[in-house]
Amino acid sequence: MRGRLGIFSIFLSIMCISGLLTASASAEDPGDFRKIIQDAKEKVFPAVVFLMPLTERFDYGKREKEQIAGSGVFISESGEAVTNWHVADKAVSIRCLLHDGKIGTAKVLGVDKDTDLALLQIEVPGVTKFPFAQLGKSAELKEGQFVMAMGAPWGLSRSVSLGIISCTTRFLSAEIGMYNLWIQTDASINPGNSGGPLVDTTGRVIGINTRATFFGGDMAFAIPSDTVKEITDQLRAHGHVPRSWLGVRLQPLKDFELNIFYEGDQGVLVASVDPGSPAEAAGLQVGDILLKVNDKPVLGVVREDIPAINNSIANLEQGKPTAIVLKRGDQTVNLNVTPRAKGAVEGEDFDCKEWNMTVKTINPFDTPELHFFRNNGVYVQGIRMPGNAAQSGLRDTDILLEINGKPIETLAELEDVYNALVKDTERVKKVSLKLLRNGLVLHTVLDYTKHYKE
Amino acid sequence: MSFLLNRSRIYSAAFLLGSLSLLLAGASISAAETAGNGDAAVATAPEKSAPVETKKENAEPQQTDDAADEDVDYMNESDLARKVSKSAVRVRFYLQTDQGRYPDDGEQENSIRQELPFLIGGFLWDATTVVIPDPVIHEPFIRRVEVEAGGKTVKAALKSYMVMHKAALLTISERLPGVDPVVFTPAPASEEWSSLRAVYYGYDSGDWLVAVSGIGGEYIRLDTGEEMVSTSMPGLAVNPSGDVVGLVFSEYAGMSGPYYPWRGERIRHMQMLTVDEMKQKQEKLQSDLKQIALDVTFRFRENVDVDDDTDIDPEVHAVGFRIAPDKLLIPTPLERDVIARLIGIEVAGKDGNSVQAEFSGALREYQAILATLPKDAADSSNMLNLAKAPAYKPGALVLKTNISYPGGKRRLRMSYDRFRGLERMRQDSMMMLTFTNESLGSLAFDLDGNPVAIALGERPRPGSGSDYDSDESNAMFRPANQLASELDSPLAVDASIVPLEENDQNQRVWLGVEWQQLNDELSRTLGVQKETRGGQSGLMITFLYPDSPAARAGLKENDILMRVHVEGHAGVYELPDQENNRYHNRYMRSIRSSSWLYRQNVLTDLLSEVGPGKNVTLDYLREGKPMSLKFTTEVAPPDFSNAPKCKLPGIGLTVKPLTYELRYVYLRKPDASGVVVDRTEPGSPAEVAGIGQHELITHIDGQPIDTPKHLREQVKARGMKPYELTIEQFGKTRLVRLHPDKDSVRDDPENTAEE
Repeated sequence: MRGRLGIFSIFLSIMCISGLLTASASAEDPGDFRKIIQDAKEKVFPAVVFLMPLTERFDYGKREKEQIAGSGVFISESGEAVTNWHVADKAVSIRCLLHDGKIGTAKVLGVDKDTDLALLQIEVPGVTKFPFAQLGKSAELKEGQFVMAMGAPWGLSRSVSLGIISCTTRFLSAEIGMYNLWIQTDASINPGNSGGPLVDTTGRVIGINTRATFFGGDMAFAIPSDTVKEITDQLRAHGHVPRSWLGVRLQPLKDFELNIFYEGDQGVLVASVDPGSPAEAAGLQVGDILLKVNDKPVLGVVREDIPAINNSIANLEQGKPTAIVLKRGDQTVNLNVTPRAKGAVEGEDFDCKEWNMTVKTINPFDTPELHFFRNNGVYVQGIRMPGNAAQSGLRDTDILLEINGKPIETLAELEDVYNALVKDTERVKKVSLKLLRNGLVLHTVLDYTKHYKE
Repeated sequence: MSFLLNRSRIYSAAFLLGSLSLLLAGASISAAETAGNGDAAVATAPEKSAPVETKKENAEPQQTDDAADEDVDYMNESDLARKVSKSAVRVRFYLQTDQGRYPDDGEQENSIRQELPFLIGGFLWDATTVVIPDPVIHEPFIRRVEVEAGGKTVKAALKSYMVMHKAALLTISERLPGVDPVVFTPAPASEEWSSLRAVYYGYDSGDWLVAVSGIGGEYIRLDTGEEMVSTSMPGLAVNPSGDVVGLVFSEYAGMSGPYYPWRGERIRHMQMLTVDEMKQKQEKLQSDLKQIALDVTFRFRENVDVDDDTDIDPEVHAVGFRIAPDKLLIPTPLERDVIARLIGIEVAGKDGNSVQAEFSGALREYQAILATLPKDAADSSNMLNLAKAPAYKPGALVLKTNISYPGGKRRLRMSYDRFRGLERMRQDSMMMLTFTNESLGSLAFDLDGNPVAIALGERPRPGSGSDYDSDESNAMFRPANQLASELDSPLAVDASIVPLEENDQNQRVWLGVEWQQLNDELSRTLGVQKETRGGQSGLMITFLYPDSPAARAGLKENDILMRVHVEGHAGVYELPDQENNRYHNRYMRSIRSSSWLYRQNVLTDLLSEVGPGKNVTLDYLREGKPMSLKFTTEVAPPDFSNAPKCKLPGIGLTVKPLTYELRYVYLRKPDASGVVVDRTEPGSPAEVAGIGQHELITHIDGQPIDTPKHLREQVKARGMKPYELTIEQFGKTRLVRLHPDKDSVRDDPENTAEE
């Protein structure tokens, strides 16, 4: 992460949430605080689910399953539940434990890596109606409001913790939260709370707990419910979130941390234009200040403004020329840019079992540095130790250029070559590889005669 | 033709053809010691007649192999030993250190350390003189000398040295009773040299003993007509009848010419050099040297940049010999990468003034530098005239001088030595061997004050792993007249070893390839397992830089570089050179390295040591077939590690140019422009703005940046006004707006490294 975050660093924690709450309304009435809390809790607690997904992971050099724990919350009577992408992604199966003790399974309706959200359909034999929670309006939140986090910290399901909102519009980094800001809270959130609800005193879900810090005490971050609404609607409709892409990276006019200040209180700065992108085709340049996109004024004065702009760009209609008004130096320029589909944000995995390594396809969003060296290709994701690939000197992030002289650009090509090789029991179990490491070409021979125990 | 018998030749004698009969004449000698009347015990009749008859009747088995001399009757060994021992004396040198220094000779040093006298056997020359094989002990190391024989020990002192023979004379303070001076037959005698024997007296393996042997190992006849024999042992030359016909203390005994007088009584009239005479000559040399041997101080560029590995003293002292009115020959072990940093040669003139000499070349074969003096410092009357140097004479006594600069102060050491032989060295140069180790810059003079030889070190070949701190005592004496003709040749100087500008002093010589080392598996797959010894040798090309020597020569990817031959060098350099790779292991690149684009590697290091402008033959494999190509080495364009830095004022940023390897391999955009961040100062505007090392700066206020100098000019032109830089990394750009820092602008050093 190049952008500095100052004092703290963020880590992705797998958090599980479970909890049970039903709460009474009456947000206006201060009343007895304890009663308010109890009422709010009662509204959501019964809707909190404890999830135990069995995920498939490739990053350890081998395709293997792992059981993790997380939380979720029902948002509809029919049994739709929200959780984090990092809880549900690559799950082979998900077991669920409802607040009242019923056991079921979850089917993944859709995931979105960019916002770290997922939509599940829970199925419990004999149950057709599920307790569910209502989403609140995260835009109306105020710092200092009391909130509760529900879920399964460290696997202890049906837990609830209390805190306040520390910040309603937290910007973390360009990578974490490209399309949304975060709700920062000091409610105790731990691994296991992921995907569970952050609840206000009216008993509405105003956030989905997602991230915490290694240090910094009780500091955690939740996805605002407005984003949750937007995303789950898309997931329900399409099974994924279709986004448009222009190929620009944006920079605020004023960045206090980096001490970079530009004049003006309108518009946003174009920091980068990707080669071969719609933005480049339209003639956008680094240093342009975008004033209007699709006739809507753009406000990108501080970092916190950026995710909203990215989001509106993502929501532009693909294939339809969109008007852009920008300032270039002293001049105002009008352009038309035609967004295209953003496409996959992650590569595909494959386990080269006999070679004791896993590979993945290069993706411009997931592995931008490898993408810089090769736009299309397959790289080594994980190397099993000990293993045949390790013996041959391969390292993770090596880009495979050729196998036995055959160029490899897609996963299909690699799979074909690999499968053909391992099927051929007659041949000597050696294969020559040409790879790219930090821009330099290297050659090696992978000997897979040895069979390493699982 | 090198007969290098060492001092205790008694052991080597055993391997010579010819006979050796070793008599431990302990009985007769100890009798001499105790009884004081040794010869009384011996019943042998007077020398002349008896041996002949005794031999015939004795019918003792002949121990000589000289079948041709069957008709010559030899005095038998024990008689001979007994006879000789009548003149034998035991000399004890008590040695001491000289100002804390030990003698160079190991045995002499040992005798001081073990607190034992240095023992040498000799013979009574006349009533007041003893002759010994010259042990070449320099005067300051001698505390006292004793001579003992006939049961009596007397004080002795060095008197004189034989100039053309390796003998020295000592005077004794009192007569030695019961010891007879050696009687030499009148010369010349007519016996065949092969019939002569040598009788040695000395201390070996714990005993004083006499040894008898055939006189010579080999007969030698030089093309010049000179004849000599290499002698088997130092001792008296004795004919079959047992008469002493001469002295054979030297390594060689000439059969004619100036060496012949070792035979017979004439030997007593050989040219001698008394101790006093030697002192006088040394004093004269000392004063002559003041004008001929000048104090030289080399000055080097200060090494303030800690990225630079080379660790050198900014000042090095050496002696410069005036070999022409305005030319100095300065023996010095400085090598290429140090000479690259030379910024001045200061020579001390008369009256304590110093003049600046100009570098005119580094010798190719020797570790020495030639420098030219300014016209007003030229002096044609005080020079070492190498061309007129007399030819080498084996065994001749020479006066040696050595000038060194401990603590920067000149120190002259005088000594003497004798040459014991010649040895052929690299490129047919000759080396004159003395009995002691030589220090760089020593000179040898004959007794007329003519220079005979200069001690120079051999310049090591590339890749030999030697570094700057090479031991100065690996120097050897080179005949002066031969050096003179060598210096005349245009090839004497290595034109590629020169002082360089600061920006170039770290220059590399390149071929223009990225390469990878093989391993056993890979070599097998490529079918070159045999040729590359299972991948141990060979560098496989993985990338060719456009417009490089490799590209122009037609090399291709996957060619395996095997060996480099340098024109004029006999040796061949294996790639990679495993043996001499003391420092190079970190510059290897194999599948196991993490590889940043480090342009300093074993190949560029080897080529850099060979030097630019050299004709080189490269052996390589193409698809398993051995091929060869010739090319001339070239200086590489700067790469990121040796490119000059450029500090940008006011923002705490140091940049370097976008060098070729970054352009082609990292960016894969040959026409890319910009500069690369080398470092940011902590807390500076650049660091606060998040600019990091190795990021690219492509534009300033939207204008493309060409070179660091260009960027610096642009930055300076803006003074204190803020400006914008475009930063790029991994293809992604961002904008940074900087406000120059008042302090940084004020402190901007104008003379920092720029192109």
